[in-house]
Amino acid sequence: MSYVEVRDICKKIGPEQVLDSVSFSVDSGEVACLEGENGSGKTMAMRVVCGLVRPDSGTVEVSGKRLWGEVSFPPSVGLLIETPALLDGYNALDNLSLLASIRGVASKDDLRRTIERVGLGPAGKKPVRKFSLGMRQRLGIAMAIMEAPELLVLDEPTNALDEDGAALLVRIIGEERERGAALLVSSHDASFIDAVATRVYHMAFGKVRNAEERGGRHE
Amino acid sequence: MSGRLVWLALRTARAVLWSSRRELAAVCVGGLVISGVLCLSLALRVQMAGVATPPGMGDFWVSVMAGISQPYPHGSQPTEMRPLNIPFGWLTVVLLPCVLSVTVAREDGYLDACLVAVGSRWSFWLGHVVAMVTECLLYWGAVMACCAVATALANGGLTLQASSWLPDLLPMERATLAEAPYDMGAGVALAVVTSLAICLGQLALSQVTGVRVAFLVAVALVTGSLFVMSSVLPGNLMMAARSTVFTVAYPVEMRDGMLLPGIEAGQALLPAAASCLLFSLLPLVVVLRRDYLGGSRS
Repeated sequence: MSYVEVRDICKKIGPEQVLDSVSFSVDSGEVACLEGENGSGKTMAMRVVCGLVRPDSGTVEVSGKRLWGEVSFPPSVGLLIETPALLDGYNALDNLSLLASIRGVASKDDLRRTIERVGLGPAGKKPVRKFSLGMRQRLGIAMAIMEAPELLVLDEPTNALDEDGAALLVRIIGEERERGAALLVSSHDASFIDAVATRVYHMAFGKVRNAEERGGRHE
Repeated sequence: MSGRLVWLALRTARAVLWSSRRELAAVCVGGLVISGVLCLSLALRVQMAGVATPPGMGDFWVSVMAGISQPYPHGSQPTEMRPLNIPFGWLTVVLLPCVLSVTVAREDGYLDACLVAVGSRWSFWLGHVVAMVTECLLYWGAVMACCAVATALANGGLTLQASSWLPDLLPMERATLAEAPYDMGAGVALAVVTSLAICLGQLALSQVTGVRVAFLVAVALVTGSLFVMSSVLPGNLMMAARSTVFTVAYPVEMRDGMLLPGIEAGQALLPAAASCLLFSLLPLVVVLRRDYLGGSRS
């Protein structure tokens, strides 16, 4: 069985059918990409997988446990959905520490290493309000990977990243995949998807149109 | 509830408190400044009036919590018309904790990340309640500390008894039905518990309407109590917090024609505490099922 199993989920918000019988799966050590235009339902599907949104029908199982039944949220997940969730008045380490303090899994040294890993280094010492959009995105990625989760959910992770940042992200995704994490990534950037995906689900109008196996280069 | 859920709730509370510590500090400083000005005002009045006994902590507390006379006449034919004198100092001291509720409820992706990290909607909500209670107590602790410092500077006694001369000195009621000594213990408890009920109610409402609407509703409820006398309005309960001293010297005609002296602080404690409990537990019905949609739903 796959690490993430999504079967026939539907979600209606107001009059709009945001997800219509969506099914996909993500294995450990795999990068599954949701590809599609804006409004195709990628972000909503990711929110459902994270336990933030309850589907009207269908099931989501993560690590063999059913969300909204056996568990409320995936047991080990790192997420970056839409814009990074940051506290502007604090520096990079404080932002990571605050979130990490809830589970208490990652040590301060782990967090410092993660900040280095996403290429923030000394720049991470200034308050986040002085960060560029690209730096905020890097910190958002750090927040997702800091606890070495079994499931990584990254929504449009290349947003605001420059060429170096995008290349670094491809490398990080490769490393996380080799570590054995299951990755669910959404993007409308075809070259990025070519670089990282092992499987691609094409979405449109709240439906998965087709699925495609890929290699995932990890440059 | 298992120990792990409680542990996660406490961890959530710590994260919420830490993330809003600067706003908390700013609100506490605001409360200190305003209550400091109100305490100074009383000290000057005492000096000008040449009162023999120095003001105690109960006097300073009443001066901070002194709104308009309570109860204010309600109905189409009030027994006695009085000009509306909006107590800006009191209003600010009472409304500042509503800002804390906004910072605890926060509406951004940070909340989503926290929720998923906690992994339990129970713990997530209870953590927020614990954070809200802590912030509210810290705020009122700061206001009390200000009163204590003012008392120490005035060489007064650190008791919660208000002086017999106080009703004549504050510019609200020149006469009172109540007789000295005035024990403000129940009044202090009522003010804190009512403030907590307002904040928790606002936090609960923000789960349904969002933080902005919830904040406006809380402000409207408190401000409305300046115009309408009803124990449903929390602002009136706040004013009842010092009605031990200022029970008006004439009957006030209520909507149903009854003549009532006002709200008793001790009696008002029970509904205020019940409101706190209700607003702590009732939102679970929403929180356990609600969708966290963030900024978009693409």
